[in-house]
This record gives sequence, structure tokens and C-alpha cells, in this order.
Amino acid sequence: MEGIRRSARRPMAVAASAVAVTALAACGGSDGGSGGSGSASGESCTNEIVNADAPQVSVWAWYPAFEQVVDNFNETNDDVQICWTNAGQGADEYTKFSTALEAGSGAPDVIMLEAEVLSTFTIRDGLVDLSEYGAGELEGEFTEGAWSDVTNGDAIYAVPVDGGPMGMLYREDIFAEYGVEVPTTWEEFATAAQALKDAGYEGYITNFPTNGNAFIHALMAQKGWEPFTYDAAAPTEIGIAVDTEPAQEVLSYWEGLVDEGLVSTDEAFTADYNTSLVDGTYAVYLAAAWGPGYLQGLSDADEEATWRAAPIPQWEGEEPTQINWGGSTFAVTSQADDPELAAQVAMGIFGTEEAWDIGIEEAALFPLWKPVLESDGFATREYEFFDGQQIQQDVFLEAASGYQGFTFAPFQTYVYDQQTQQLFAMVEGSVDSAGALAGFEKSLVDYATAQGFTVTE
Amino acid sequence: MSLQTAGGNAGAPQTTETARRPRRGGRTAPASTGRGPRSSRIGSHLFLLALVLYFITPLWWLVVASTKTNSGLFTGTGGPLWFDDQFNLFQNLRDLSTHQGGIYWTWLGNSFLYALSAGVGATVLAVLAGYGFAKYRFRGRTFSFALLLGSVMVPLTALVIPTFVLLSEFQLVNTRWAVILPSLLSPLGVYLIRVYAQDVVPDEMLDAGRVDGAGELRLFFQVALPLLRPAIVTVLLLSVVATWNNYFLALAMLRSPDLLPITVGLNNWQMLSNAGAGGEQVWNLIVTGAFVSILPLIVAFLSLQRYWQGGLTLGAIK
Repeated sequence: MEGIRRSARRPMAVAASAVAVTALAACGGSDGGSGGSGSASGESCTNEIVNADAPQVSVWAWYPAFEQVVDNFNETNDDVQICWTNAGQGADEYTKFSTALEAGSGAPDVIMLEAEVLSTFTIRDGLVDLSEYGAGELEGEFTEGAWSDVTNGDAIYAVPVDGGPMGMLYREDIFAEYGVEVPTTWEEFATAAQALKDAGYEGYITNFPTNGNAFIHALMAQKGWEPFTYDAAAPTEIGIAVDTEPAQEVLSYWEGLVDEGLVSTDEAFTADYNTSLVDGTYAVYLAAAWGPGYLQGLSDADEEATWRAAPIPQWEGEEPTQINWGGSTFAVTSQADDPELAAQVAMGIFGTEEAWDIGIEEAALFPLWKPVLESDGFATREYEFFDGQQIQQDVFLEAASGYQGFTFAPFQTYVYDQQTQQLFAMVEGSVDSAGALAGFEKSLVDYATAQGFTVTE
Repeated sequence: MSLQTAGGNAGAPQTTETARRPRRGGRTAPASTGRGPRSSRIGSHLFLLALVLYFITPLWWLVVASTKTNSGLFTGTGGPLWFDDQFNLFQNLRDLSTHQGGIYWTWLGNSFLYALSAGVGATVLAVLAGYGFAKYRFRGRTFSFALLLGSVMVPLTALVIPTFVLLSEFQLVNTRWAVILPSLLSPLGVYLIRVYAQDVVPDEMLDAGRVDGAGELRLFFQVALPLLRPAIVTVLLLSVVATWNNYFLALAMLRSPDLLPITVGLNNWQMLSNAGAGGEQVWNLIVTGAFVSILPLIVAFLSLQRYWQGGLTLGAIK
């Protein structure tokens, strides 16, 4: 019996595995086919290619309005065509880019990146230095701060697109109702916060988000905080000076407001935060130039509210300092088939007034390209949301031209994570602002050392 | 049978035992609660009611939220758990069909394709392997089953990057195969089928079949498969749901918007809505899209209910 069973089983096992193998082989065969056709048809573009004969450059970018910009580019360029893919916004796209770098293939020719992550990818040899391809000539076409954010030493790692110079959006109706002056300095801001509360306003003057990432960086940078020194030419050395006087002063200022219950500490970009932004819980939205677009998208039905824009408050007795929050650039990846052509595209996409008409009109972008930035049309543009206020001329143009640039770390994501942890501990009351900064600095130094950086002050 | 236990690994009898236990418990449980005193029943009912509320509330929120406008979501009059004065569900559905050229339905179609092909594929492989493990002795069985049990513990997410590198060698990244192929393997499914098959497909029945001259394939298809049906439906449901909900694999493997499943697609919209710069806020479409996307799963579970519930009483050897 045993013998029979055995002999019966063996062939069965063989047959089963044979079936499995053929099944897999069948999959493999058809995979090869579809994979081949997939790559043959190029990266499947989201847009229509106008001139099919021209060489194509693949571009990842996330702005929805980019579709029209691409069409405009393809219609006006015979020698090169853009094949656009929306590979996700921010972190999603960076994840894909990272895995593609790891795998050695799969990255596009040109990629949209925020300025703050440029060194994260240059350190992995992910980006091409555009100075070889004539990008240096563009220097005069951008503001000083914008240009400094995409360069490192002599190297140019990206072309600036849009920026986020900061201002203060406030509810004029709330300030008027409670008879409080709109602040122009941070000292007045704290007084106004108290005055609003004393007058019976039930909300908060503004919000201090512990996950504010670049926003918090900007607030501290306004007092002269320069946490990192990093030179792409010496990629294993980094200077870390996080726990310094400017940061201590700014953070203890906000700690005071939080402790007195004058500002809330909701996490940014959550449903609660969005609700508070538009329902009058916050009287002030400290915002970048793209903030009005964000606000408008949330509150299209709230006609009671009157929003106005004003310059960001300054510190008394100090030179006015302008700060920036966010914005995007185009970089050429190290996997580009033809870096020169890719560089031409990266420099050319937003290098026309037509492209910027779309960018400003459809996507509420803030241009960093001077021919548009400094045009009368942009300065005197009236914004219906602000009841016709010319917010660019009143606030953001000066903020953009005054911005001097900022050096981010080549591990910026980790920096933000640590900042969030420490700030959260601070608003929960388990450490004070000094302790939070000390912990923040220590965690970064430890991390950088563990990653093999030579850390200096 | 003697061969089975002698040759099988030490874990086999135990697993058989654990597989049997819930069924026994299931049969006796109603009787015991029926006899309990009234007060304890009220207590347990209250407890169950609290659980129901806990699990239903998010679903209720989703239903309500999908009827709101974009600004109604944030400034609506009814609060988060009640309807707004403006009923916008149909407008949301219309917008869902037109936003970005109606790409939402492409995503939904992709999710269906991935979930069904990976679900069916994973089930077929799991049934073949699980039956083989349960009913045949071959060299390396103990070792390979131990390996399989070990791989149950490895989450698919942890394998995404190596899989990416592997598939990128074969030029399969950013194709549908990049999602389907890795999803075809379901160690848990193999394990379930093996345990179940060991229990409900008696060796005596197979031996009787052999004596009557049935071949192994015929035994598998005509004797084992019908008995395994409840387990097959369970594994099918599990793997369909797992693929439908799989987020990270598709996020890493795909970049063309046309290939994305619904999970990653909706997340793209959410990221864009949060982005501020150049983004557009489509919270109402995200919420309505999420609502629509769970309907197929609910339908699948309800319509297949009698099969996998039936499985609880099947398998008794008379």
C-alpha cells in the first residue's frame, strides 16, 4: 500500500510543480511582451505629443495646471517634446525618485523638486549640474534668494519655478469687530493676541503647528537662524548650529503665546486645521504667496469673511527680514538620456510669459522668473478674494525681492521629523523651548555622525 | 493517516486542533448565552452596542461627508456627523466622472483588475500548494512548510524595494504586472488551505478513490476541491481585499496616473489638495471617491457571505 501511494504521489508532485512552472512561465512570457511594449511606447505620457518626430524628454511634475503649460510648450517647440507624468506630489514623488535611483533606472529626465530637498538628492548623485549646459546665464533672471536656493558653490542643481515669499493674511472683519490694530511687529502681534482675547474673541490669533516643517524653519530664519552649512563639493561635511540665540528667542516667544493660550497648536493640513482656517477660529494665517490660493480653495462659500494681506510682522529694532516657505524647481536627473536636451527643457518650461499666464491664472503660482515677477501686470493684479486688493504689490513682491536664501540639510526629512517631535513635546509641556532646541540639535548631530558626516559647528 | 502523522512535522496535529476548536466553540456558544441570567445579557448587549457604534461611526461619517460640498465639509451647518443643508452627492458623482477626464473610473477599473487577477491567481496557487502540503509526502516538505510559515511573518511592504529592483531588471516597473505578480503569493492562504485540507479531506476518502481507480488529478478536482470550497472562498476574499487595499506596492511600482489603483489615486488627490502651491482642493471628490470605492467590497462580502459562513459547519466527517 505504502509503495503504491508513494509512486502515486511522486508523479503528482512533479505534475503539480510542472503546472506551477508552466503557469509562471506563461506569466513571464506575457510579462516580457507587455513590459516591452510598455517601454517601447515610451513612458506613457499624460499629455498628447504634438510633434511625434522630435525627441522626447520625460518630466515629472505635480501641478494639475501643468497640463496646459506642457501643451503650450509642445506646440511652440519643434525640436523637443515634453512627455509629462504626474508621479505624485512632494513626498510621494520623492519616494519614487529615490527607489529609481536605488534601482539605477526608472527616473524621468526632468523632475519637479522643492528647493529644500535638492541636497538630499545631490548627495546621492541624483541630479546633474546644469552649469555645464548654460544655466549660469539665467542667474540674472531670478531673484537673489531664489537663485541661491538652487545653487551650491559653482554648481547649479535646478531652475527655480515658483516661490513662497511670506506675508500675513488676516481677517479684517475680526480685527475691526474687536477693535484691535493689525500688528506689524511680533511684539505688537503678541499684544494684539492678548487684546483680541480680552475683547471676547473666542478663537486664537493664529496657529502654531508642531508639524509646520518649513514654516517653522522660516519663522526662526527671520531672526537670523542659519542651522546648516553644507557644500556639495565636500558632501561628507556638514555644519550644524541649530541651538543658537535666534532660534531660542523665536521659540521662547511662541512658547509664551502657547502657554498663555493665545495661539492654538493644531497640526497643519488636517481637517480641523482647514476648518479653523475658514470658520474664524484663526484671525491670522501666516502664509506664503501660495497661501491665498489654498485659502480660497477651502472657503469658496464663506462670504462673511473679509481677508486682507499684510507684510509678515518683523522683530522690533532689527533690519526687516523676508522669509520664504515652499516653492518648486525643475532639476535634471542623473538618469537623463540626453542631459543637454533635458536641461534645455528644464530651463524652458516656465521661461515664457504664456506659461506664466497659465501658472498664475490657473494654479495661483508665485513666479520667480523676473520678466513676469517684475511686470506691471503682475504687480497691479487685483484679487477678488481680497476684495480687489493688489496683494502682490502690497506684500509679496517685496517679500520675494528681500529673501536671501536658506541652506537646507541633505537629510531634511529627518530634520523635519525631529523638529516636529521636539515642538510637540514643547507644546505638551514636557520640555521648555530651550530643552526642545537642545534635544533637536543633539538628535541631528547624532544622526549626521552615524550617517558618516563630519560634523562641525 | 498513520503515515501522515509519523512523517509530518510536529506542528501539524496542533494546527489541526486549533482549526477545529473555533468551530466547536461556535456551535456551543449560542446555547450558553441563552441560558445566562438577564442582567448579564443586558450588559453584553450594551457592550455590543458600544462596539457597533464604534465601528459604524466612521462609515456613517463617510456616508454623510460624501453628500457635502467642498466648503460644506469644513464650514457645514450640520457638523461632521450630520447632513449639510445642501445635498451635493449627485453633483459630487458627476464631478467625479469629469475631474481630470474621469480618471477616477480608470482607477476603479484598475483596482478591480488588480484585485481580481491577483486574488484569483493567489487563490489558485494557494490551493495547489496547500493541498500538496496537506496530502502528499515529499522530500523537503517540513523544511519548505517551515519556510512558508516564516514568510507569513514578513509583510509585503518590507519586500517592496527588493521587488522593485528585481522587476526593474525585467523592465516590468510601471506596468500592471508590477502590482499583480508580487500579489500572487499568499503564504497565509497556503497555510489556511493546508490546515483546512488536512482536516476536511480524509485520507481514507482519497484512498478509496485510488482503489476505485481515480487518478490524482481526478481526486483533486472531484473529491478535494468541492470539500475545500469554503476555504477557497475565504482565501479568495482575503487576497482580493489585501490586493484592493494594498497601497505601498502600487505607490512604489507605478507612476503613470493611468495605471494607479484607487488607493494611490485618491491619495494623489489628497496630497495635491494639501499642497497649497499650484494645487486644487477637491476634498469633496476625495471623500465621495472613497465612499464609492468601498461599495464593491461591501457587495462582495455580502454576496459571498453564505459561502464562507457555510464553511463553518462544513467538514464534519460522518
